[in-house]
Amino acid sequence: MSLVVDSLSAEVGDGRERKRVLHDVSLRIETGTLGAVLGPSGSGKSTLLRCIAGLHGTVSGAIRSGSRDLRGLPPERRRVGLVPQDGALFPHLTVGENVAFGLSKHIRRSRRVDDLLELVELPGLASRYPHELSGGQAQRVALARALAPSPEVVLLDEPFSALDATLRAAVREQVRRALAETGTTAILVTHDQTEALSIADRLIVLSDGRVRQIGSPQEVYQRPVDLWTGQFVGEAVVLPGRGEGSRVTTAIGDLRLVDPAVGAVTVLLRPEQVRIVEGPGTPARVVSVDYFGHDALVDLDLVADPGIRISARLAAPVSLREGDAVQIRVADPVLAFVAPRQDP
Amino acid sequence: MVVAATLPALVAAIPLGYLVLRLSQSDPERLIASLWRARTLELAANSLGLSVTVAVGCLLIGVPTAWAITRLKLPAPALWRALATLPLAIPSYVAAFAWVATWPGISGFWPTAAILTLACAPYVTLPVAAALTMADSRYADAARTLGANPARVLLRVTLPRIAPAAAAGALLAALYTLADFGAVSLLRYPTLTWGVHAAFEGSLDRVLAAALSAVLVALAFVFVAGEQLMRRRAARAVAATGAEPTLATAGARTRAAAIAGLVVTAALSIGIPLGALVIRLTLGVDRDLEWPRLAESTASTLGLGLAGAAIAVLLALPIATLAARYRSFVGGILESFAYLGHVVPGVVVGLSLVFFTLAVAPALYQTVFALVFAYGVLFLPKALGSSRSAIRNVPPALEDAARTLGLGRLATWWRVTARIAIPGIAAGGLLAAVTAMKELPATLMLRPIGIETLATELWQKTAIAAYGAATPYAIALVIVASIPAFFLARSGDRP
Repeated sequence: MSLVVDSLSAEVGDGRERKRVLHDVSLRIETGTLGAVLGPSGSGKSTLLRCIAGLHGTVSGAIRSGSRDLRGLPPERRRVGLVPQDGALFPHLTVGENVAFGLSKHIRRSRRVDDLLELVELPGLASRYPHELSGGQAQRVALARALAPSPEVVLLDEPFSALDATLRAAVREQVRRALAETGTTAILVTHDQTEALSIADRLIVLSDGRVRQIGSPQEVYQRPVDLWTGQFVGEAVVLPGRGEGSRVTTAIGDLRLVDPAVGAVTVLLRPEQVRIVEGPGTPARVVSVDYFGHDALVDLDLVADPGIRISARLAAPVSLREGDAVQIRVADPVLAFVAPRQDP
Repeated sequence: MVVAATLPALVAAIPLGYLVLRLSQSDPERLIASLWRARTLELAANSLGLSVTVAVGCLLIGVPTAWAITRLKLPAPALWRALATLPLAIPSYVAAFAWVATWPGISGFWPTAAILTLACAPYVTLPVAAALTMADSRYADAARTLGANPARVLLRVTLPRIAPAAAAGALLAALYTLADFGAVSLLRYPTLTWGVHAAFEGSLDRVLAAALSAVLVALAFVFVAGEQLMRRRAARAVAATGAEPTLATAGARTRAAAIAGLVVTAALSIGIPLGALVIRLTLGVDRDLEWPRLAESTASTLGLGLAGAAIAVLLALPIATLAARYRSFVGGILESFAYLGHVVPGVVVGLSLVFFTLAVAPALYQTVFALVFAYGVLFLPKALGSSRSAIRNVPPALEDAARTLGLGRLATWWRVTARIAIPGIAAGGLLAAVTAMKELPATLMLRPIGIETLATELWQKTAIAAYGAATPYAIALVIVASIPAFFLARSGDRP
């Protein structure tokens, strides 16, 4: 079922400490796709999930699953599954009993539990207890448990944040496959932009309880609606410039713009747009090199204007060292925002 | 949730509430006359003096004991810890019985104060020892590097940090002494509890009994308020970072003195009472013991205690859930109602329930129900404390997960929360059961005709100086009381 959230507002706290944390949030996730809500901590993304699950009261707005209005329904009647942050497996039940928890008695005796454990690639673990599982296994059991009653929507609350980096990618892939196989609509909440960009069909950027932008990961990355979003989603290089219609003048030359702009602007470009060139370019000096194996992120200061810090993503092998003098050039086009520079 | 917790909280407030109602309805002139009698003032002064003396005595014994067992490198540390806990296994009236049965002349203020102090010292020793174990040694170390000698560190750094724990323990000792009925009557030192009982049983003056109860409750609330005031002024305890306390490198002389002190305390509080009971048992049992009677009263003690604990747990669970899960103003008030049993003495609860059953439900007067209900209200705090922390330790995420898997609130509570918290809930229930099994004054007032518990048997046999016949009951009570002491000692090992 598609999930629709329509101008939802919510508050937390009691009495005088009441505070609005969600302001008119609207979004739509199509049937069988995965939406990722990306926002810094405190942006209200966990509250949004809890509202959809019915675990948190809303002030106004509507939540619909397909044609069903979920307003006023208690969580147990919403058919919305939840995978909590660290899995939250019931410690007094085995893996099998955990997965069977939401199933009716006669389904419990069928092969459903085994099928689900196979789906999350953990066959044969049904008799284990949660404390005998690794973090990645526990997370996948939590997903199997949430999927067991065939919910229309599954919510994942920072599901991979407790896993170490190498495991995270693998578990993420397994979760995505399990969701796709069951055709379940899902929303994942995260503050990790790499995770959000890699897993989502649709990205919802949230800050201070408001939706900043909704779009495909490519759209949000390539065409952020404002400077904050551009800096929050992905690495960004920011520098001042002066717009002259379709071109902008900056300390690293005269660049073509995606959208025309006039006057003082802030220019945003991605580190992969910065090239180290032989021959004519803007002189710069290497400040530091972050080496990642497959590529490297090189921080540079402009020789003519040392206040401006430029990052360049360079494919390996990288032989640059701190202090090296290089020439850089930027691959157009770049983005320009009229609003003054802000910190994310 | 608030609604579900309101009912048990109101039930817990019945004894005190009904007493107040009863007082407000009685003839004001008679009431004032009862309050201003010289005898009433004397009883109040006796109660106050005894409670304060016992509280101070417990501090004088408990704080040094706690310091010795946590800070000195004594041989056999587990033994000293156990000896410091064991007095809890001897109900104060059993200790009093042992002394009186051996030396029948013992009576009056100082012997009563001494016996109650020895019995209550663990109330100070245990929390102070826990505070000392958890107290971060970094503060003491910092003070030493700033030029303070060990005595100054003790005075300026360590004592202020353990003051809240010591004050809480002293409050428990004072409240226990104020509510104590068995020991003061056995040692023939008239206090308010004794006065309430005498007015009720002897002279059948119910207005006087109610007036004395009111004074008793007022004193108890004064103690609680005093402790709260002290706590507010004391430095707030900072969470320890888990650093091991440095053990004082005391000289052999200090350690010898400490061991001597611990041995003397243990001998007076455990050795002599237990020894006296055992000797008496080997001497006089064959002649005086009536086995069927002992078996019967043991069975009713167990049955009544368990039933009372079941009521206490039933009342505690909604309040515990509310207190652990939803912090609110109303929840705080409901919770403090539940703690009334801590403050209102058993003799007052007994008296009030006599009034209540006679006036509101005469069919329940002198029935098992009234007695079990009194146990439930009196020992609700014991069940509540442990249930609340057990429920608080269940991660809320588990409940959220259960709700999204299709379980309602109640089903979630039953299948997830309660299932995980059950050890803590059971421990609270056990504590309530064992405490109920030792209860004396309310049992004396409320027990149905023909039903005796171990405590009432001991009481009646001592009253007619049948010490030999009373001894098996005293020993049975020690066995019952050892159970929570055993658990307390075990939890003390891992603070």
